[in-house]
Amino acid sequence: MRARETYLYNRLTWPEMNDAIELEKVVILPTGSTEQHGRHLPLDVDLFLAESVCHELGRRAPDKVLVLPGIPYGLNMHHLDFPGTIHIQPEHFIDFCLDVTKSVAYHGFKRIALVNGHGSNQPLIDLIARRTVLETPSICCAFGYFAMGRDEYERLLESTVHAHADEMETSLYLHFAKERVRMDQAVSGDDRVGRYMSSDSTKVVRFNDFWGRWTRTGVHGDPTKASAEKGKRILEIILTHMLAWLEEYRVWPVEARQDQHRQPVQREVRW
Amino acid sequence: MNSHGMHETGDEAYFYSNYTWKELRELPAERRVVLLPVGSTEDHGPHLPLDTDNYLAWSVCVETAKRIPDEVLVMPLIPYGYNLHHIDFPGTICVGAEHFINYVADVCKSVAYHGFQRILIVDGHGSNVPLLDVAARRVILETDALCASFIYTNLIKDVCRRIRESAHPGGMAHACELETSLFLYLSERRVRKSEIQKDINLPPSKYIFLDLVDGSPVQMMDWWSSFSKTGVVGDPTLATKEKGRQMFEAVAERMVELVREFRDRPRGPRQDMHAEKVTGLFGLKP
Repeated sequence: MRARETYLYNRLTWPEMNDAIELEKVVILPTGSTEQHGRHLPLDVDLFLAESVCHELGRRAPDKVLVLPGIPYGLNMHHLDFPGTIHIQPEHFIDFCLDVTKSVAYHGFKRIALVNGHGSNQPLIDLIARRTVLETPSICCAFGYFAMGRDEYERLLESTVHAHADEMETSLYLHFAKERVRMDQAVSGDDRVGRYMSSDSTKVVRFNDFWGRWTRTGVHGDPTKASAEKGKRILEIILTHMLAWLEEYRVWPVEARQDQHRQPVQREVRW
Repeated sequence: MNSHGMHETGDEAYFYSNYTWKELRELPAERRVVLLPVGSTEDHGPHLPLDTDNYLAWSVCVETAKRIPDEVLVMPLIPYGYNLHHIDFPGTICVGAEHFINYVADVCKSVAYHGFQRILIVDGHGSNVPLLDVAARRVILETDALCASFIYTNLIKDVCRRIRESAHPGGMAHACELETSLFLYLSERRVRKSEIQKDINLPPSKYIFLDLVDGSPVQMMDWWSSFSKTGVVGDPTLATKEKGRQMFEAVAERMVELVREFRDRPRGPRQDMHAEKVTGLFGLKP
């Protein structure tokens, strides 16, 4: 059956899609961005890595997932001083992605996940997942692929700051497409750090300044320590955790809600 | 593999997002035309996959870029469009009209911000057309760039009229002779040939019909499941690889012509014709 062997959502026809719905496949929406990543990495890093990780998950569990076409543009105005960066307004991003997840839910897929590759999308995909739960009969969760097995893969890294175009992202990119990395251009970079806040939100206070105010390279972290070998090992750790998550999510109960009111609620309220 | 699961070598100099920011800042001076492919994820009959619109729009852009690599930049494709009318067919992903316009306009406005002066939105999905028209117009009114949009089939109406064997008009609308021929030419192995069947069941009308090349004088879009059992409107049994080759060649040739014309299109400055100072509404500077 084609729906069992295919992990790419839009490679199926609509009659085959009926089979995929019956198989209760988990539908994954990768979210990325088109954004500067230093002088050594191309603009497609976030989309390319999120999709590559999801596709690798699909190759290893083709009968359990369908990976949607990735969302190529995200929230990015703070990077706009760097040529090429594409910015989507946060409410436009939420509206667009939520329509995608709601369409998937409409067709009867019970479990949906957003797998993010761009840090600044994080609060938005959190809201998209929550709204999908509240506004459809399906469940939907969200995470950054980079959050899976982080404690483990951080032991492989030599640098301590992991933020943007850093040792981790550069290693993964080297693993997937070495020929596109300009390693001779790689330099390390720090943000402006105080006791409670930093300009790239690495401290306790949430704060993201325009990157054009504090960096000339667009790098936060140390990509000079990156290698393809590290990337391969990081990917294995991430995938081990994503496969385990997939098993957990596939059987996560979607129970009927229980109304605890003594009096009937006002069902006519429109949210 | 890129966002629609297609393999590209990926290091071509005509892909926008293959550049680093430092490299990209040299490109507006080259006066490149930015191509933004837009499609949909939507049922295309029992014989074509859901990525048909994406795949065809993308292929048109990449073929154009191969022919004039120094004159264009191809953006990552927007893979979802406007198609609630198709939702009864499993898999279709629909984005609301205003959500779609806002998303596309934000992308183009960012491109304009970086100094690119010419943006072409290349559409593969009929129902996106009026929305992309609005998006492109907004980009002109809200930036200093020129932005235009079109569905690629509009470039080869004459060629399609010559080649088509489907009833005319109203016999070639969706997963039809045209789209299936192109798909056969570009990726034959992905077409489920044994599933190909004709389906044209709209009520006969002089004024209201559906056709990718010659649309009806009156616009109306009913729920597709109310008039099609297969998701097809047209006769894909008439499709051939050779027809696809001729259509694709013609699109690519005209895209090159269009890009070159658009790139050199002269443009005068706006002029304020008021006798008195204007008020500065609509976000415009007084």
